[in-house]
Amino acid sequence: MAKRCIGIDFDSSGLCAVQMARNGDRFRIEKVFSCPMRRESDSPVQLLQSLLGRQGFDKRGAVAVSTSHNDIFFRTIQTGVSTDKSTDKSTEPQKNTAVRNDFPIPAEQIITANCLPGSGLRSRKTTLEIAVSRKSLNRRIDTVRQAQMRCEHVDGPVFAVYAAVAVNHPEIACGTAIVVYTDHSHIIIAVTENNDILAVRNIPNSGEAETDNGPDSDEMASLLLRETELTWRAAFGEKIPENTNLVLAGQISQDAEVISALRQALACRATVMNLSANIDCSDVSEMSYKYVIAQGLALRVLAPKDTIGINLIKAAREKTDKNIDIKKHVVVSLVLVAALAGVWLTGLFVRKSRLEKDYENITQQGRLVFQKTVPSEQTIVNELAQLDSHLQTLRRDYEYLEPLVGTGVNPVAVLHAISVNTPRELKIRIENLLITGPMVQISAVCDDFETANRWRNILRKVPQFVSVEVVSEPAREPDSDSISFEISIRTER
Amino acid sequence: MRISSREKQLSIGLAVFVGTVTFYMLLVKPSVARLETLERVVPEKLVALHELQSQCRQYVTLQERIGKLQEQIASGPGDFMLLSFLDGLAEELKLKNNVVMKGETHKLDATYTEATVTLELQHVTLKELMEFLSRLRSENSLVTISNLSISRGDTGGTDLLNSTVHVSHLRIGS
Repeated sequence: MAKRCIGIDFDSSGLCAVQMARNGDRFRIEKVFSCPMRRESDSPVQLLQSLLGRQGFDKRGAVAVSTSHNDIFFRTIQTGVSTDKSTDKSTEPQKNTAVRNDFPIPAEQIITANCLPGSGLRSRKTTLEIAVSRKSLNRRIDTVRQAQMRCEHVDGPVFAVYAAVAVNHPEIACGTAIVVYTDHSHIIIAVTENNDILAVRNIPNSGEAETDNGPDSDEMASLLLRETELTWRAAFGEKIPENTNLVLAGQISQDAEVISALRQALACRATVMNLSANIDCSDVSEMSYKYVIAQGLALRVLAPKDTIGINLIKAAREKTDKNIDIKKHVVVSLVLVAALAGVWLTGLFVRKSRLEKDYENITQQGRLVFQKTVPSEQTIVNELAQLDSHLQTLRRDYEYLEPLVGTGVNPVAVLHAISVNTPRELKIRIENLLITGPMVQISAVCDDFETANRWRNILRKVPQFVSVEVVSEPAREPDSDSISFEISIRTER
Repeated sequence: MRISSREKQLSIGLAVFVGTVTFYMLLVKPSVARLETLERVVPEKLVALHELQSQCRQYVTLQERIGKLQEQIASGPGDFMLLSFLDGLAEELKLKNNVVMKGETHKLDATYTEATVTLELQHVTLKELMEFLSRLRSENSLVTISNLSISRGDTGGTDLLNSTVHVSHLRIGS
């Protein structure tokens, strides 16, 4: 499946967009669009939205945009030793304070990053550092996102220009070269060596304000000559050698006089950039010089290994999340939660399985006990209720037979116990005696209250008698000297 | 159809969420409910089992006792008549003139029949009464005294007693 990207170069004056696709090693331009921006009525968000609507750009394609020329700053640092990628990163903290002081951006807003060479190995002892303001970067990203686009890449315009040049003219990746780009507002001059940008000049194109058609060719040639030499000197400390590669891109590529003047003055191999030199394009006439940055931005996403630059979104995120790797934390937390859930679920199922087993065992045990006790019962619904019913029947039968057991005190034994425990000297006279089961009712008379009390106490000590209670208290009968009373005795069953 | 990585991540997230919810609803929630039920029911079931075991022991004990008693009843003379037995005993103790007897037979259930006799002993001494009751118990162990009433009553100031004795005899069958 072809990878797709939309490169958008926009500022307050206009918008240029290129939709490109990569299929293997081939790049193809699918759509291009440009329009000026009327300051009074147009908004960047509306223009961007029109890309997806009227212009039919791919809604799912990744979007790459450049920072504004005014918002990005460059600085070449002498590292002192040759470094590769890893050592380059390690030196960053030491340089940070100095860098922050060098750029016209408040320290709390600054985002800095080192530009690493495309080959991964830096032969020179310098590093190109860039800085942008977090505020301006966020404003750029928000504009794109408000248009419902997926902003994946933000890069400096110089890197976009270099990407377009490097893909269309791969010969400049070897040896030293100068890339000059101009548009209506800025001039970019970059000195490169072995696919590495050594020095950059980003100069406002002040000529625009002076005349309607921009600065004349002589002025431009003179300006470019001067600035190019200065930039080269800043990188190498010497004059530009003869036959150095010079690539001219953007508005300047249309100005034959300037090109000629530069060729003569610098004695370089000047190449005018061709935007479709290595890129398939259905209509070459559509590919105007103004699409250089837009094409370069798309190439930065589609061919990151063939180009150089810095994704400022990533750089900003790394700054913010330097010490907090949220993704890692989320993954670790999810793994921990999953592990805890796993342990909990295992415990749950183990407990459930154990209880199911216990339940089954108890049920089985109850059934076995019941079947052993009442083997005649074939249908078992509720062991306890069924056994209770059988027990009731058995108890009733036992009630009939219980008198035969003879475990209780029989009437003869009761009579004997009373007789033995009634001393003759007490002169107790039993009038009535009734034995019904375990209960004995006695009505008796005696001469005095003391005798009645003593006899009752004697009977209470008889082992066979469970209790001896007074039914009616001793009372003297009228017209008589004798005391009458009633007691009730409960015997053992 | 092209799917961006963000859409892919969202799809995976949604699938994981739906899978988790489905797993919870179909497996975890019923398991938790079942576990709660089991935690409540198993101890109840254990208590019921102990009660069942206790009742089974009672059942076995009662059954053994009843079996022995039924054997005892079955081993007695098949033509035993309670009235004849009591009449013979009274004659033997020379109390025939002092005794009034009234007999009844009733069926307790499909298995047991009970013969009861109400004896009224009048003007007997305590010694005679004790002798009668002792002999009654010793002569036949299947005869039981269910009620005994003794009163002096109107015996003219002597030591003679009036007594009412309810005697019963249980047998298997009609």
